[in-house]
Amino acid sequence: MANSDFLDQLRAIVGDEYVIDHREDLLVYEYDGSVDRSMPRAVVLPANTDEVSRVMALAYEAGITVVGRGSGTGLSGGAITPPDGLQVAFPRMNQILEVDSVNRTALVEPGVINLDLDNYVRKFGMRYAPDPSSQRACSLGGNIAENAGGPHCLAYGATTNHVIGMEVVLEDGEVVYLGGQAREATGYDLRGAFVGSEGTFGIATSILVRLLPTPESVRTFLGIFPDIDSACTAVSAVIGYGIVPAALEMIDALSIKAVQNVTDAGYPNDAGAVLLIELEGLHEEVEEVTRDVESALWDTGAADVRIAEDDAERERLWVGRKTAFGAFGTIAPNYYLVDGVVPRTQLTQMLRKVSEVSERYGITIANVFHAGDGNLHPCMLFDAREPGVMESAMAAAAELMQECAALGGTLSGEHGIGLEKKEFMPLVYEDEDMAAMQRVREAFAPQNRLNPGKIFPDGSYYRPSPHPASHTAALYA
Amino acid sequence: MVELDELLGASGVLGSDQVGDYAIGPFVPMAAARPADTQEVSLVLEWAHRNNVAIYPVGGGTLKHLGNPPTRPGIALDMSRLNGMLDFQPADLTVHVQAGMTVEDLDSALAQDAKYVPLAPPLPGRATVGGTLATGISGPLRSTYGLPRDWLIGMTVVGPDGTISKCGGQVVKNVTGYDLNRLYTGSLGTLAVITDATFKITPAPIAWAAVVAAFESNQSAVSACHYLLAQPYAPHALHLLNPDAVRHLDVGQLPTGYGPAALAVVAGRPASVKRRTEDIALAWLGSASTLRIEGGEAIQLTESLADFPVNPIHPTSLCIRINAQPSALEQLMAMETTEIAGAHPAILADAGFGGGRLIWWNDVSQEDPVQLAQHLRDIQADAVASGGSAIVETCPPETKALVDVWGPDPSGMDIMRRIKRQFDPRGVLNPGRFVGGL
Amino acid sequence: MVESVDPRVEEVQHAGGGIDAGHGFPYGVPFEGSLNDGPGFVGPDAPTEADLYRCVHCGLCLSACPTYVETRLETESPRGRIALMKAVHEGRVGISDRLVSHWELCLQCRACEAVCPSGVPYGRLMEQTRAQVRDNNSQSPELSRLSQLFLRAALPHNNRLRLAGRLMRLYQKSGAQRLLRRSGALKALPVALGSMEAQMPVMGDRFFSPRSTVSTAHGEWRATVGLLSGCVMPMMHGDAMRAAVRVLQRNGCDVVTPTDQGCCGALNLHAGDLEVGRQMARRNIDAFRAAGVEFVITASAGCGSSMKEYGELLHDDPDYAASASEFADNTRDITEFLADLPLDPPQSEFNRRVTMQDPCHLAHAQRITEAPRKILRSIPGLQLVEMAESALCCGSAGFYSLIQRDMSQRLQGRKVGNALAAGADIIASANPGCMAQLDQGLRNAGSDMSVKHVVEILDAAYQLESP
Repeated sequence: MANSDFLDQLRAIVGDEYVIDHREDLLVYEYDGSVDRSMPRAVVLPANTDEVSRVMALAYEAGITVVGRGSGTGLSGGAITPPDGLQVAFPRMNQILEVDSVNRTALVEPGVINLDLDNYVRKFGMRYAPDPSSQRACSLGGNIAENAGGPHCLAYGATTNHVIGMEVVLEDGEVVYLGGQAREATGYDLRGAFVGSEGTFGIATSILVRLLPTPESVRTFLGIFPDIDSACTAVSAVIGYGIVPAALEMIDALSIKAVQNVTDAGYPNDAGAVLLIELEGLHEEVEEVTRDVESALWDTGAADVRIAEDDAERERLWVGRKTAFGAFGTIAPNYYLVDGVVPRTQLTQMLRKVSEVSERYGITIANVFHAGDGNLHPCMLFDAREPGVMESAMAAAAELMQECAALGGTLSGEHGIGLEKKEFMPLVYEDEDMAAMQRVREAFAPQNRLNPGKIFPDGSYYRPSPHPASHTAALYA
Repeated sequence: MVELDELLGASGVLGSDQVGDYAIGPFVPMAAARPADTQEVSLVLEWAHRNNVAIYPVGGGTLKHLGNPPTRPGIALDMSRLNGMLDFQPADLTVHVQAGMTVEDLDSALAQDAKYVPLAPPLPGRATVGGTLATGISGPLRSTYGLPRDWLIGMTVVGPDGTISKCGGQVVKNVTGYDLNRLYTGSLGTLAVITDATFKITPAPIAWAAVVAAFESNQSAVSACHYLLAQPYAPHALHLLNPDAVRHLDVGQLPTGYGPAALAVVAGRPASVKRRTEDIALAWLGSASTLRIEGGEAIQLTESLADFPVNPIHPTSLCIRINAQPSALEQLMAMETTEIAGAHPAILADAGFGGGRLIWWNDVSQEDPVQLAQHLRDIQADAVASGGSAIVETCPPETKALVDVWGPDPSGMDIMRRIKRQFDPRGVLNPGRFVGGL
Repeated sequence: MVESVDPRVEEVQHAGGGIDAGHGFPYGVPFEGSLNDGPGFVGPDAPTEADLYRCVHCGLCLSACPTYVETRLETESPRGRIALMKAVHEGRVGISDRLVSHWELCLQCRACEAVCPSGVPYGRLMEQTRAQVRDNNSQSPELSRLSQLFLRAALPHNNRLRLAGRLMRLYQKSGAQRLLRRSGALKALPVALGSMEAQMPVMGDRFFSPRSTVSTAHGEWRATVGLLSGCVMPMMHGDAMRAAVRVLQRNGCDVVTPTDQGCCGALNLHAGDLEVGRQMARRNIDAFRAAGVEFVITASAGCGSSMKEYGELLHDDPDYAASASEFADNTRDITEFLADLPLDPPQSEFNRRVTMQDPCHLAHAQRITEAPRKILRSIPGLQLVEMAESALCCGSAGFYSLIQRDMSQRLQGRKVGNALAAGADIIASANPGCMAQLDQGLRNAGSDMSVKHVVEILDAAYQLESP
């Protein structure tokens, strides 16, 4: 089949204006939030499951690989489409189809924005708990693919804990429902296997998610510490008090500076680190735990403990946290983020390693992360225009991932492996472990046509090389 | 069997004369292997794979009847010797145990440090961690605490050819590679044998309480439940029992002689437990009768709820687990009029989670197996039609031979078959027992 | 199998050997060459690398962008537009009609800038990009025509503007418009002209004119301020301008409106006409410096936003760099100024329900959202009700509504819908373009809700005070 015939058939399925194939337009579909980029053959914007199914069947027939794309905010290259591949994007499938307040569920299309769903269901006294920092832009379909996390998954679990069932389209266009309407379904937990499969098993076209009641009371603390070590000790102390807060985040001095450069989040400029802690529940519950949280923070050397006085202040504290990565743009033009996880008790050790690596490589590293569950985000800040610095950053990242693995941790807590970390998989998994994973992929997608080249080590990337004219192409980060 | 003796030592293998305890209904395995560690599990499986012998893994045996009848001769794989604690990190809120450890042993080890993992299978004194995961069984607090799979963060498994592999890890948050933890959980040992598991854990609730209320009718009970679940002070578990179920629950002072009883369990810090119980009792003030239960008795009540379907004091002859949405609560309660062998079922519904169990304690083997099988298929079809499913957990062997206890093939059956083929092409593991004859 | 799009990819796959067919693209294989033969960015006013690469394509801007929210297309998003700028900068593509169409659909509302965690100066990047487009004669014919007509021929010239305004007022008030509209003769006009007629701003009954005398402070003197008269605002919203003078006087200010001031140049700058924009800036700097005022006040958010950026605009101009920067530092939006004074709250009751529409150039470009609300809340009896998406652009955006009619109307409809749903009597705004757009949207929707500048509402409340 000639490419033009293929595109004509695509247009016949979705309509002329919903196939993007002009290469000047495709320039904006070659990236996501990560370092890699690659221009797809075309982008198709289906309107419903039937169109997705027909598009997939057509691509399957033609031997073309398919990659799903939500909002392109992913940080591991999950939506980067191989040069010959077809990208399927969901701007037209963005309806909240149903909210059921008895069963506390919502049925949504994959293009629905995470925060839009949460805002919508709050009208009914419910919430959608997973709240990735990109929640005002990222889509539910992407959340499913990556098993997205967020600060509040400390208490409520990641996306997988909130998906009851979904309709998915397999590589050959077959439409299958995974999971059930009820919380438990019969047979293998295909739903559980699918969530977090990074788009390699199928494409979700409608999703039944679980909603939680909104808490009666929310209290947000800002614990201010002279240094990282004492903040780490405080994290352990909070857990030691028998408290699992709704969220427990750490922001180091450099990140505070970056955030405060852009917006006044209310973080003190002279702090060595701050902890952002949120409690949710009944008034009495929150009141009772507040005393323990305060003790835990003061006992471990907090310079100050503040409690957000109103929603506006609470909002401000969170805006700072949730925009921190972007704010690194004020310090250096490029960042490379490691999403490693270590057991909570290894946080101090790990952060010492981070600072040692930072010094040895001469690369600035900022830390803003989900301390409560040991999910670090050491973020290397650099200017890729300096010769060799990109390579140094990668080498430093590799060392950090090795350290995470050595401390009993893992490579990714919530961003996924994608292109970015696939070569590091052998740090945590043996060949047999990965072979078992590949068997599941074989069962879902025997021809490996969906988002190939991700997750498992194969030596290929789509990283732009320095551009001869301006030496700036590698700046994408 | 000689070779197996060589692999495990004579004490690690039980001959055909000693395998009565491992019978699965009328099916009796040829022998039972009792490996001491993962390596020995691997040796057994490698041996079985080579000799084309089927393997029937077993933990505490509390749910060994679950599933369709075995389809091939084979040996039982008794995991109970793998019962060690591998690692317990209270400060990390993680625990790593071997699969054959009983849930009670796990619970008491955690309790030493005021920690808790809400697995809560029936009969935790016998039920093992591995068995709980393999069967996908869950406890009465499932609606707010989640299912065991939600607490599982890593495991080691042995594949049917003896290959040892692991998935997940030791950390509480992990998206590195595919989530095989969830695939193995509830797969009834048909893909791999679990040899150890790591859980995230949580601070143990300091206080427990329960509020029980008896209602005039199913309708008033159901609407009271839906109302309560929408309140900020909603309980951590809310179950609805028909009068027959109330009579059989091992807690003396529950109100009987009325209609259905709703049972709300709360756990947590004292102030929260107090507020919830008070508000719940207030909300139910209008009902026929309420009763507040505190502390140890509330824990005991919760355990009784877990043990209910398999309580050896009341041997069950037919038990059907219904998976359904919470909105189907009234239809579920209406099933109490279903008559089998001249008796109506006790019903234990989980109002918060949806679904529940129908239990007949009378001897349903009096019923014609063909007719009973048809009856069960009808119930399963109805359940599927309303977006759920019905699993026959216990039934007489004559009937079991005539019905797929898992019901009609679920959506995604083709993928499930392909998964089984990928993992266990020779059908070594628990052959024939799972969904669709997997 | 479908043929490979890019022959080089095929080669790589074959060379790669071990990689599965279909997705080989090993590390380091660059995307070479330009996609077209269009021109690149050149000259000192080109978007800078420092600005461009501050964008780390995190995507957090997406949901703030009105055109993305409406289309959900990456090409119509801030991140996408910057990616296209980067691609031009890197020589991967030249300026083409297609790229220009994506850039021109941008409203320059700068909502993205306000939410950008990296602090990307999007407004500056877009102005510089449009300047490059303009210099290459690559503008769309619609924008090009408008540029000729208004940006260079009318806006810089006060007298020509006033003449046009009077003619329009005559056309509107004399009944000629009604007559022509009813006759259907307008349908015979070319589409673009017809659209312009429909979008024609409604002229006020009385124009506001700068004057050489000082409007003196009432009560205790607190400051001497200069008030920007501007271009269309004194003609369309003369009442608002007079209200502005009165509330300033009422709050102890001597108000000067220098006669030799002119349009602030914002529209020229947005369209990429930096050269004329700079001339207009210099004229205003001179005019207000000569008037000897402490603060330069504007009642137009769009003007304030540009005037606060005069320092940047003229930083390479040896004669004006310092005074431009001083001018920018002393510029205040009238709501900002009054809220900071702080204002003397009215003593009367003004019992109306008011909803605030945040003008983009106030909320996003100047990050002012609290000041107008503070003023409204200070009015006894006034009930402030918030509308949904109050900071999402109304689609006015200067000349945007004339060039991008479809998108402009979609956003207008969305905004009016949100305003009506809020159930207010009055929409408060702080920018002439928004006020005209909202007014027209309300009329189309058959609503009798009115649109007023925040200072008009404040003035009305002061008027009710017993003497």
